[in-house]
Amino acid sequence: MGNSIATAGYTFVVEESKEVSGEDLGLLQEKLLQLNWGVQHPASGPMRLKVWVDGDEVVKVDPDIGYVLRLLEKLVEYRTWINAIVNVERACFIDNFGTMTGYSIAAEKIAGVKVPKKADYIRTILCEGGRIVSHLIGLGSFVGVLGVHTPMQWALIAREKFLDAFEVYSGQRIATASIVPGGVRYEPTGKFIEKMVTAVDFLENEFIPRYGEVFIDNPTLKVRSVGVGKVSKERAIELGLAGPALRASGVSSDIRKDYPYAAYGELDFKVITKEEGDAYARYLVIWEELIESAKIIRQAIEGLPEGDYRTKFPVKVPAGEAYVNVEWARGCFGFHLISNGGTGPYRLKMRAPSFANLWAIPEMMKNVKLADVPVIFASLYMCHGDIDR
Amino acid sequence: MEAWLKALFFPGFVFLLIVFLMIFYFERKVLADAHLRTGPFYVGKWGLLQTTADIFKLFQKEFIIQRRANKLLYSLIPFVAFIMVVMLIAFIPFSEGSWVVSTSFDLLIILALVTGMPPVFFYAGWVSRSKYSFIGGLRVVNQMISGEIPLWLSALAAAVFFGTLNFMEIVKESSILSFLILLPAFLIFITATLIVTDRPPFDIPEAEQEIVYGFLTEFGGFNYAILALSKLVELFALYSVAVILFLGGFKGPVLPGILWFFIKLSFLYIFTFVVRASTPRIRMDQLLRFCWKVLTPLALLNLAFVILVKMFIS
Amino acid sequence: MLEEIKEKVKEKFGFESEPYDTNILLVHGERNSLRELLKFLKEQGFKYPHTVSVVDYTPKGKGFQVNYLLENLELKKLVMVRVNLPENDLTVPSVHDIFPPLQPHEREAWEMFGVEFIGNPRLEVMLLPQWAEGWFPLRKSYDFKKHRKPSKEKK
Repeated sequence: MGNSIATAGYTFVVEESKEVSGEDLGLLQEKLLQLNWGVQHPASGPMRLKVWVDGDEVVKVDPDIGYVLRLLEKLVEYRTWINAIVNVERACFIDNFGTMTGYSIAAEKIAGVKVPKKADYIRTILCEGGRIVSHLIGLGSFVGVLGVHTPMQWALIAREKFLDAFEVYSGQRIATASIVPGGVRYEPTGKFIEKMVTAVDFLENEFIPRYGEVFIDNPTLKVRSVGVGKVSKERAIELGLAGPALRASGVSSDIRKDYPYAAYGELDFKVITKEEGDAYARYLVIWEELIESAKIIRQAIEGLPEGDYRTKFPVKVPAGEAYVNVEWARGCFGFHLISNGGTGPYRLKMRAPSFANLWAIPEMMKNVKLADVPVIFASLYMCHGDIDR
Repeated sequence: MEAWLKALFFPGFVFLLIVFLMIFYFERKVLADAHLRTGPFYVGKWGLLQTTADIFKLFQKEFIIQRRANKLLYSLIPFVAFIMVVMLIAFIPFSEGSWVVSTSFDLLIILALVTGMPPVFFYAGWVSRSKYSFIGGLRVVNQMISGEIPLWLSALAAAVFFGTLNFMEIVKESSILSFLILLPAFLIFITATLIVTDRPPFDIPEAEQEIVYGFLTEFGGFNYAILALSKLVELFALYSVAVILFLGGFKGPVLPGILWFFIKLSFLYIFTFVVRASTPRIRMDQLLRFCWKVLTPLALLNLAFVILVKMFIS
Repeated sequence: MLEEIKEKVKEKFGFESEPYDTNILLVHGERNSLRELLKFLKEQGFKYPHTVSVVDYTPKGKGFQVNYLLENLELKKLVMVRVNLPENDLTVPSVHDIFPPLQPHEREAWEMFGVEFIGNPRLEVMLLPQWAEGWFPLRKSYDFKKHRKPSKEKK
């Protein structure tokens, strides 16, 4: 790797700490150039990909993460059982409901608390709302890396309606802290349901037709993404991909269906899978899940039972442990929660789907073009808060 | 009007500055409309002065030269680029009598100057001594050279059809018939223009998500402003050439010629902006394949077709 | 299905197992035959590795616990393999060649807990800054006051 690309009196920094100079420009085609694709880059977010390129071909990629490390797993140990949701939801607060639900279910399993049915339904509605919000941003940013900012703007308009609903429900738009062990935190008022229905109406009647017309069968988009970053079914399992990326390779793995939690066991929905396993298939999986989520919200609102929305959760939880997986927007989020009989968690291990997807990148980005790096990166649908925790 | 007054005011510098601020404003408004936003709104009536404010903001920025950059070339290149493209404007007749210079080789000079741009942009990337700038510079050369051949060939088709290179004579001879015969050449010319001036979906040298901002990465403030402006002027000049060659220039009923010129031009611009709002960027190898395997053969066929037509007409 | 696995593991390795949750089987393994056990489980269809979860039980005098979570994607069952480590010998054989996705998880466990995965090719700091190598912040013995962020001169 320690080669230099240099010209007469002209120096490139090829390795981070080593500055080498050479003779002629023609060397560029033969030797490797290290690009720091990240930290201060328009498309990378707070992480760095070290990309070694040979001309236009990517030879090797190495992710460098940890720029948004907050050590949430440690912080949780200093909180009470209820307070810990504040740290848990910050794993990635584009979809904060999924993580809170997973943590709450784990805590309830240890404490032996049974949640009222209404709370389950509210959790389902909120989780799917969070999934839609997250998928909207996922769609927008995927087309965004190809230089078109229109989808992001359209998606943000649709997202606003959901954030309005969350605001009516919990008083916050993004970090809502609204799902706690023992149920949900607030009574779902009629106004919240009304706002949620408005948001879903807007999504189904305005956003989905408009977006589907322009950006789904878009020929240029297909030219760029079909066949890029292709992963076969066996390879996807071997690489340990998670979430939409795994389903796009034909593996039908959806925690909502496989190990139903909250109210998902009683609702009717289908798991979206695609066989192709390329960037375009991953994009389509996100798109179709968005449509599916809107249907789930409608069903859950219709079937919303009467009753309590919260039961008492004990201050001290008996010693024990639980492992709970939830289908978060970006994949399967695992919680290994351990109690030692105290007022707060003894240890919480969070298994993040983005972390799994991130470490598949070095294998997936071998021998692709430099221009495909952002496409594959965006199609894996990662959240940086989730990678670093 | 005296020639130097022309160069300074009416079809010259001041006029162009206003036109560019308006085009920039127009672009932002059209894009905002596609995005379902409002766009510039607060500065001036309907936000008309927003672009002026932005340009002045860029002008008063600190003049930063990167530590490793070649200082002389780094400060010189933006001006060289700007002067080269501003010269293009001198040959364009906006209406009867509104031109600075008119020669028998108008089209040739414009195309020659456009061909001179890639080295300038390459140097802009090279002197910055940054990896992203350098890759951007290489991509500019790659892309522009492949785009210029169809550009030349389609412009040549028009020149063959009219039998002259002087813009005034071309405008005088143009008619509905010439528009119809030159329609394929027009489409090729517009596509090649998008490639040469790297507008979306061919904005590969400036691909923000891949190589930050291409050869413009290290430039800031005034230098950035005039380099970016020179790319806009290049697009404007080539679109003006398209209007003159294929759409009949300033010809049109009732309204004055200059208005007709800008109405035709704004159609081309709206097309560009809508493409920008809806078409993802393509990849370098795909672009090269498209240029050399599709666009250039088509342009050659079109040239043969125009020559054939010319044979029967004359 | 999990009953079958339980008996097979008992028969082949002699490890005790117990149901952990409705879909999860907990296998109490030992580090000496950990690699063989995971290889065996992979052959049984548990191909999708979830994570490596380390728990620090030193305040209770039980040392460390390393949990491997594997999923069978066809039958939708999970297995948790548990290995207990004494406090004074924090080494466990790496399984990065059997389950490549676990390599970064092992790396994270190493930098957060100091559990050494023998054979892992990349035990480097990943999430922590370079100067914080060897602090093991997720251990119970980690002292916040002692490890304030050093000032710029000390770096």
